[in-house]
Amino acid sequence: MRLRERLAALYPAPPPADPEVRDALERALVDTLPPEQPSPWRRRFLVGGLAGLAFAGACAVPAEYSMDFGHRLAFSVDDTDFDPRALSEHIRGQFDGIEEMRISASKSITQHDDQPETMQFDIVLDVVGDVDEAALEASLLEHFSALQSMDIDVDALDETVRGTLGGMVSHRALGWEVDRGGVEEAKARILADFAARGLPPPSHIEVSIEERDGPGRHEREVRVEVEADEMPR
Amino acid sequence: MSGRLERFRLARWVRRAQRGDARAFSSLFSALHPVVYGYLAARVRVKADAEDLTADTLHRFTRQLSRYDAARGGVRAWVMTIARNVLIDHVRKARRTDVAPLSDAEHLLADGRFSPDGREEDPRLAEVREALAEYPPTTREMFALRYGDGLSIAEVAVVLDISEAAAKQRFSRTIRALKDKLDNPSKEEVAHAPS
Repeated sequence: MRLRERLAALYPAPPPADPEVRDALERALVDTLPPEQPSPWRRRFLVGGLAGLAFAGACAVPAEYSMDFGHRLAFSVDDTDFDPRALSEHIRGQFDGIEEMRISASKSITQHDDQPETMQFDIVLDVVGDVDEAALEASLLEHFSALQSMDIDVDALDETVRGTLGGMVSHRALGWEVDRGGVEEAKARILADFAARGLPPPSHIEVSIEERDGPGRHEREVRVEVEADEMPR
Repeated sequence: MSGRLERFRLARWVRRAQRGDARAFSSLFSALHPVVYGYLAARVRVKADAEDLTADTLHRFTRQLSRYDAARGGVRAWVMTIARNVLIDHVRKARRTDVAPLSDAEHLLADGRFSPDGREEDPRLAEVREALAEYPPTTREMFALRYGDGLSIAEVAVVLDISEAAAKQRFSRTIRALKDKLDNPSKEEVAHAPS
């Protein structure tokens, strides 16, 4: 047994929580939340548009300005046929100033009691380059109907982005049915996918499955993260 | 569960919960409750105490939700920092009433995570535990958080309020020394033999 395995075995698993106590606590905490507010992003979008007009007037006499390195957008899509690769292709086709782009996506399956499963993609999109945040977002909303009802979080990437490599997670990897015993198989399939296309192996592959229970629901999340210099298309 | 995407998702749920989104809060709760309860239940041993302390931790977390600043560390590290403070308060309070579950907070934080069930310990594990016992309490706590509670090194650093670089260095140095000691026990015995 290696030292790290011995260290991990040294600490026994804690006892499980009582589901009734946990659910009661969750309900009590939810009751303390403030009244729901609409997403600030819609407001930010309008403000962004107005600021853009004002800036156009000021551009004639450029002064000091700060340079953002890009933007990170995060959203969830309920459409199981949604292809994250289409986002990348659309952005590259519409915007010239893209230096790097990266998409991370995870698929989660939620099972509520006595209800059919629902599936959801959580997508994080990093776009590095001289691209207007509002224009990018508006273009995505206009082109992808699945996003129109989504709450989209937008953050500036205002620091050096290290390790943001071109490409995206293969949709095939997300489409696989990965069960508890299939994590290693999924990794092997990703590696085989790269090898079959003559690409160097990814620098990082993470496949994990997490199951969570809450009041009246069971969530099973399959997460696939792949980083590589070049992704299969 | 400490991937980049997971950290980002937790931060997203916090932002939505700040706006009163109950669904996002439930997702956040489902992700954090097992970590917090596991941390506390593994140390206080009394189930009712673990439940009370978990509730206290998550109430504090929810009250402070609006103050979350992603730049200061991940959500999981933040909630675990709160859980650790709640545990320390619990021990201090218990000492005042003479019912402290262990002698003091430092001992509880450093060693409270070890096997509680009284079963005979695998000698290979006992050997590691005994070797670790020679290190300062902070180092032992670091190992408990990393290998017992599954925190990343960056999260351990936030919880213990030390730099990530210092945490990495201490882990690396200690693991090297442990390997050396466990691979060459006779060398250690000779080195420590009374003259």
